[in-house]
Amino acid sequence: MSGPPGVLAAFQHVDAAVDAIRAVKELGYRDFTVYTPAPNHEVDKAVGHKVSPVRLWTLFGGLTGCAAGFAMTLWMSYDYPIVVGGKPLGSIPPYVVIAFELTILIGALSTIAGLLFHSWRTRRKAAYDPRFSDDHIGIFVPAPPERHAALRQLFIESGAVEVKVEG
Amino acid sequence: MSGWFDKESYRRAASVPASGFIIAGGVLAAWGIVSFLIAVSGDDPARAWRIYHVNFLYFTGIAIGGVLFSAVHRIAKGWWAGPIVRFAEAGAAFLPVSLLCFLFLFLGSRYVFPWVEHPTPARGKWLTTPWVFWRDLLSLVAVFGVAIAYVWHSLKPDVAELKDRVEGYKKNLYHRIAGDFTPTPEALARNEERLNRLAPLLCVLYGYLFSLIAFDLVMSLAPYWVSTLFGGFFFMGAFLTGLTSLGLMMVYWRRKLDLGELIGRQQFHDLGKLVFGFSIFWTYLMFSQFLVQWYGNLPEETSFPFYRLWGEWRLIGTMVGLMVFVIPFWGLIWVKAKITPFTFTLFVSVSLVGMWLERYLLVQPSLTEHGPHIGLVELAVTAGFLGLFLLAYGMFAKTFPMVSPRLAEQAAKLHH
Repeated sequence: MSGPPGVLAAFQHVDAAVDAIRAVKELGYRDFTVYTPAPNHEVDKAVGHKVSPVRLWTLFGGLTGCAAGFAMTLWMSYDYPIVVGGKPLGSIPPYVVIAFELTILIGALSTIAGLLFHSWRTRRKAAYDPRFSDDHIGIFVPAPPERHAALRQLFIESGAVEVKVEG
Repeated sequence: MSGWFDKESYRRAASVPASGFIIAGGVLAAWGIVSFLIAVSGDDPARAWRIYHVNFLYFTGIAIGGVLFSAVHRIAKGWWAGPIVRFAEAGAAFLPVSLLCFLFLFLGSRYVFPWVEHPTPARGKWLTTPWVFWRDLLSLVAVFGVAIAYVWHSLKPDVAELKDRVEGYKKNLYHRIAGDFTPTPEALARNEERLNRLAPLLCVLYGYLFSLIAFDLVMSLAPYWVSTLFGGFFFMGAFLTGLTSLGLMMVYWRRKLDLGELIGRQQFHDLGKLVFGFSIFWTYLMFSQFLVQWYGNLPEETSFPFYRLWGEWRLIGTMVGLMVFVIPFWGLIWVKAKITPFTFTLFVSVSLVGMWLERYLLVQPSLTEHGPHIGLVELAVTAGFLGLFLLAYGMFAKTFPMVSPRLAEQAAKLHH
């Protein structure tokens, strides 16, 4: 694959990977990529991402859905008035159910949209290995060739099971 | 295995200063009991008995809710709660008091239960004093018995370690609880196994039998109103009060014992999430019952909720909705508000007071002709129950280690 030049390391143990991530950050690298086969809080913490902006999408999607649910049901009841069961035309209690469902639906859909949007914007090419979807943790650090030797050394010292130099 | 309690913070938690609880509890309890006795022998004994019933239900819910939290944390393997479960388990000390309060309640049963003087033919024998009394007594004994057995075994390993380092009455008690327990890995595993059996048993019993308690002691106050969901609504509300009171205890002991290293962001965040979630669940149960009754519009069903939402009771009904749902919802939705002790305490307290009003709203309108009336008698009896609760809690805190080092270490291992 023709990704950017850099160093790719595979780890078998979380502790070793976490140490390596910390060491890489200490050297000043910020745009490295970490792969884990399963969500892992320690890796999460070591990478130290800021809080994801996706949650704002969820909030605004949810509020939009809630407003839309009430707006739609009330508008429909008054636009085509039929009295049902002797209730007032605009009856809030049953519309809560529809507003609630739309809160969830639009909230979930906008979460997916936000996820796609942000990961599309921050996507970058990085080397990969199928083991990272199985039982290894991977770290890829893009770097110009003159820094490869130092990074390689760092990964081996922190306990990588394999280190590959790309490009 | 030895030396759990050698670490400074655990040593602090093993003998806590609880005299504040005991003194405050004693004063409040004395005031409450004296006022209650005066009111009962006065010209309106029913008033005192009504508020007695409200507080009996409320504080029993807090006490059993705490033990239930411990059982739930074990079933769900929520080890984050390790450092704080004992604060919840301490509620078990109120359970015997609660049982006495139940027995005492039947001295005034004719003032509390309308079907004592006006039998309800539609309910036949089901709603007669002996039937209600015996089945509820057995239910309470069963639930409280399992809850106390659970706390007993949860204390065992911690107490076994301390049994030769304590003096006086504690020494006998510790030896009694520890029995022939020796802290070998096998014995610990056996004890864990027993707790793992008791925890689900407690939850299932609680669900079944507290539904019965809810039907008998609350729903029967309006004998012609039926709601199959009411039991669940009642006992999940009690669980919510267990969580919120645990929140207050956590804040208090963390400060008092300087446990900042054990109880941190994780505990505040997770307990905040639970309170938030169960506030929503409370609303969900309330609404799902309200919706069908509103839709069906049958007078015998709608009378109960509508009387509480419109007219004289509207103020209390609105306050309950705001304090148990709206305010905690918008307050605790933010991470910052959950992990900041000040805001956490604020919203948790609002929910706890709101739940008292909820219990008041469930009981009181069924029994009186007039609207809400909170005067000195109501305050005194409530303070009396609070005092009894604090007294029992303080005795527990004085007697037993308030942090379990095993569980705290387990929690610490999760996020080092």
